[in-house]
Amino acid sequence: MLEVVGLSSGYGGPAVLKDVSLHVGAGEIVTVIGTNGAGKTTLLNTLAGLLRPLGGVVRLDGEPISGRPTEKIVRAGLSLVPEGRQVIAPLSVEENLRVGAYGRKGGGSADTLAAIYDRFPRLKERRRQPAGLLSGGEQQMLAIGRALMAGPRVLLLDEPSMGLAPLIVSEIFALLDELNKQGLTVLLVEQNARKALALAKRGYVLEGGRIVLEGPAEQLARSPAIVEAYLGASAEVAA
Amino acid sequence: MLVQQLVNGVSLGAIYAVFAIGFTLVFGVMNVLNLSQGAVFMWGAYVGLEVVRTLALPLPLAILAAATAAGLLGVLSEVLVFRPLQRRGAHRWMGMVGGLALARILIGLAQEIFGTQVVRYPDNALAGAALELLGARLQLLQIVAIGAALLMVIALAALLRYTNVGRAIRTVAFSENVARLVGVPVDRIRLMTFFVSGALAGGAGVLWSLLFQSVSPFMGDGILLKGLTVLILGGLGNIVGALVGGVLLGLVEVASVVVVGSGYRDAVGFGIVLLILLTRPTGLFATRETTRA
Ligand SMILES: Nc1ncnc2c1ncn2[C@@H]1O[C@H](COP(=O)(O)OP(=O)(O)OP(=O)(O)O)[C@@H](O)[C@H]1O
Ligand SMILES: [Mg+2]
Repeated sequence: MLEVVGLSSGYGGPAVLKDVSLHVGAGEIVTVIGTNGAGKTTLLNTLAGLLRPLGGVVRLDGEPISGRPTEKIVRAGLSLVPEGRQVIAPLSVEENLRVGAYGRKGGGSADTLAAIYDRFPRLKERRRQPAGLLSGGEQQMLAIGRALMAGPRVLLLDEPSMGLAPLIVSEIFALLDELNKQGLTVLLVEQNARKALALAKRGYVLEGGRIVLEGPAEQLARSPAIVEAYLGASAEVAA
Repeated sequence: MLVQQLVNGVSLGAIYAVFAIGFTLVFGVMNVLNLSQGAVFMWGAYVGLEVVRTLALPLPLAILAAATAAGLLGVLSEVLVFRPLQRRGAHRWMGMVGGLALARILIGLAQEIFGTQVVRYPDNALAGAALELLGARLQLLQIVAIGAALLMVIALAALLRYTNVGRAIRTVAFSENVARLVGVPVDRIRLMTFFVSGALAGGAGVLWSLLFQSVSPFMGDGILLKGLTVLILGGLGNIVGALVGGVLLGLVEVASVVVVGSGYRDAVGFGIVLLILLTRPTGLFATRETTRA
């Protein structure tokens, strides 16, 4: 469904992302893990059209979308939940969700809104409050809800676990699992390799802007290089 | 006497407000201080004048034409100056210089086309007609100015607060990238905002020319400084603040003419503004929140 071939990208200087190829099948949930500065955000921002690729191609259902403006990519069915949540602080919770449907093709946004409120009663309770007043976990739920309002077929998430308590992280990952089971295709970028590999079916490892490893998630989770670099001592204790 | 001065001050302030609302809108949404706004105001005045004189059309149509032409000049400033600078990652000081440069070009063009002498609108019903109210003479023009300012604020506030486009504009004000991610065509929203801002400046230009009976290529410089003052007084990006700030500046100016004479009008006006800023450094309304109605 999402196909990335030989993608490179950067910020005007030398390429940060170099020759990255990956694919996400329809209904799949795939993760890209990588440490600080590996290029995860650069990858997702390029896929979403916020950064113009230097080379390579991105296809959504066979249709090339790379180089298109972000709003067109959103209309084509790809939405990004950005790093650091980026809820629109001065807008109310409900306004955040409604503006999320701005780029929606076709109707159904009222149903999506109802479904989001059903799933997150906290958001419904606080729908008139400025989004900036929500807790970190609630803001992450709102950011995901806002992306869902566009009615995407592929959802990209940039480190949704960042800065959140373990319990909240588990809740978010449970939600992603649920959404995936309902048919949504998910590409999840994470530093929290353990949780990401537990959720995803397949994974890629990004290092210095290149894919250095890929495979089924449980295989990656057992690979010595990953255990050492990402799962650390706690993994050995667990094992 | 007092009522008369009050009427004069409020109507003058209303014109400042219409100008300043456009100014503050562009600042609030795009963080751009558009210093070509004064020249756009001046061009609005000339376009209105030409429509009245050459085409002999009625004044309301002239205001409409002036607002449209000035709106297009606002669009031009985005396309020629602000967008290219932003794409190149220029600092906002560069945008200010770019705006000033565009203003100088627009003023030079006006001098070429219209000459440097001060001209005025022909006599007309809007400036002539008046009614008596509590012993004060209320020109139709003054009523129009006050009505236009109120209408603009209410319409803009409602647009920003209750419509899809309004939510999109406020999202752009928060972050252009976030706006893009929810599917907002940011470039188009920016153009629209520049158009509205320019149109307000152009409309204000016609009203101001009628009130002061003068049009000249340099008339934009004074209003630019006043717009800047009102922008800061009302709180950056605050639309209601621009209305209140504009009216306040108008009242202060009229009062200072009465108290110390017209030669000191600007000195006293700006002096009082300075005093207000010294006591309330964040402006009258402490929200730095952009485009809050
Ligand atoms: N706006 C920018 N301008 C220039 N260089 C940037 C910019 N953003 C990121 N970089 C560089 O690109 C590289 C990859 O950054 P990126 O943000 O994509 O990493 P990341 O994997 O998302 O890291 P993190 O886990 O910290 O979010 C880094 O070396 C970083 O310094
Ligand atoms: Mg990142």
